[in-house]
Amino acid sequence: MRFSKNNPYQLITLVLLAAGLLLLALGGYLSPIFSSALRPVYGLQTWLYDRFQAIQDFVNAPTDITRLRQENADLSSENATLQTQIIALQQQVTEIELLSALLDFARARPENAYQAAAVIGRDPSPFLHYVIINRGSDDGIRRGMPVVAQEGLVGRVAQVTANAARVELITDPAAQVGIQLQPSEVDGVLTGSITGDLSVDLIPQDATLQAGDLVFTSGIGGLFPSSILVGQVSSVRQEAQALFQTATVQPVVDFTRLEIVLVIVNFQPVDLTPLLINP
Amino acid sequence: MRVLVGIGILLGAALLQVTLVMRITLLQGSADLVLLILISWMLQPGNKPDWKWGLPAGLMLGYASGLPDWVLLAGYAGAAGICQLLKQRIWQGQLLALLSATVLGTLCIHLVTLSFLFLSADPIDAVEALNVITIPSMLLNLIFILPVHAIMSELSKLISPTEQPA
Repeated sequence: MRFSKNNPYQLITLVLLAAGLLLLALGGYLSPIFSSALRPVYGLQTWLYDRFQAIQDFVNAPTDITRLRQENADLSSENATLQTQIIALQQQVTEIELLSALLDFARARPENAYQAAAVIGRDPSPFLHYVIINRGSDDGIRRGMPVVAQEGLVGRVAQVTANAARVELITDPAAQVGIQLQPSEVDGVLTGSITGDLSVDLIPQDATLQAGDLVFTSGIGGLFPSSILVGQVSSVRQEAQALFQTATVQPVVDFTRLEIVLVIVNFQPVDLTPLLINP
Repeated sequence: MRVLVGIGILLGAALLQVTLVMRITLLQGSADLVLLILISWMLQPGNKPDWKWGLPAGLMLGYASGLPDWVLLAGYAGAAGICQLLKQRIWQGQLLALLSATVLGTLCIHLVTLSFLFLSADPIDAVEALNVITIPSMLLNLIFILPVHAIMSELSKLISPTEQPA
């Protein structure tokens, strides 16, 4: 086809055609056609780029791997350090919480003087319920001193060395604590057992008890100060033929997780042995 | 040399027993690492079994325990004596001797302790003690004796490799 310079219709037709195509393109009507036409081009371009990138990676890989390994080692080391710091901080938080609770306990009883001690061991015999603490006679600890935790009564010091002491827990079969039940204000004797269960004996038959009653030290017997929380009555056993009632007690202190305790250092236990009448 | 190493190992075991092992309980029972090491040590091929090995073990634990020293001395010496007898009589079956010594040694120590507690007039229910302390302790000891024996065997080879049979 040849364009004639003297034929204006051809020129107008071409201009109108171009304008029409432009309008169609601007209106988006030609996009599917362009997409179909350009798809092989894009595919080819992607293929070429991937190959080029692979070659570039292959050439640069040794330096990258070395750098990444170094970076990985640095990050691993930093991660380990941070993990150690987190564990140490968590331990400190736990310790601070414990000490704070113990401080609250001590503030609630300003009449007593306390020595804080950490539990560092347990009696190697499973028949006995003793713990070993890291304070001894050098720190003013004496035999017979009561030991408490933030929740309540723990036991009393049974044996002392210069830097450590052995504490007999109230759950020990040989332990006996004079107690008072609240709100009934009835006195009794709390005893431990080899299973770690606590029970109260010598409760008069006419006393009214129920599960949930609180158990405090009574101070009778002279071994412990009065009004320290011991536990809560979990069940009561009353038999018609028996002289006394018995009750089982749930201790407030979790003896399996005992970490820090307070020794009441200004309490002088009273030895009643000379007053007992020998048969 | 072996005696010194043995006493050092028993001392380490006693420390671990007081600080760590007593926290791992089954009902009220717990494993007895000192007893396990004592049994395993005495049953090593290169070691001469002797009941006197029970004396340092009992002495170390007696120091840490609220029980009188003589109770644990008697208990561990008895357990070591049982081990000595078993090694002499069941010399071909080491595993059998190991398990028998663990069961009988645990029973020996617990019986001596229970007898003392009965005599000292503490309120102890023997059946309850058997159910919640002795049997769980024996079970834990039987579980732990094999890994302890494997470690002690390696240690024994390290100390005197020439004494081990090929």
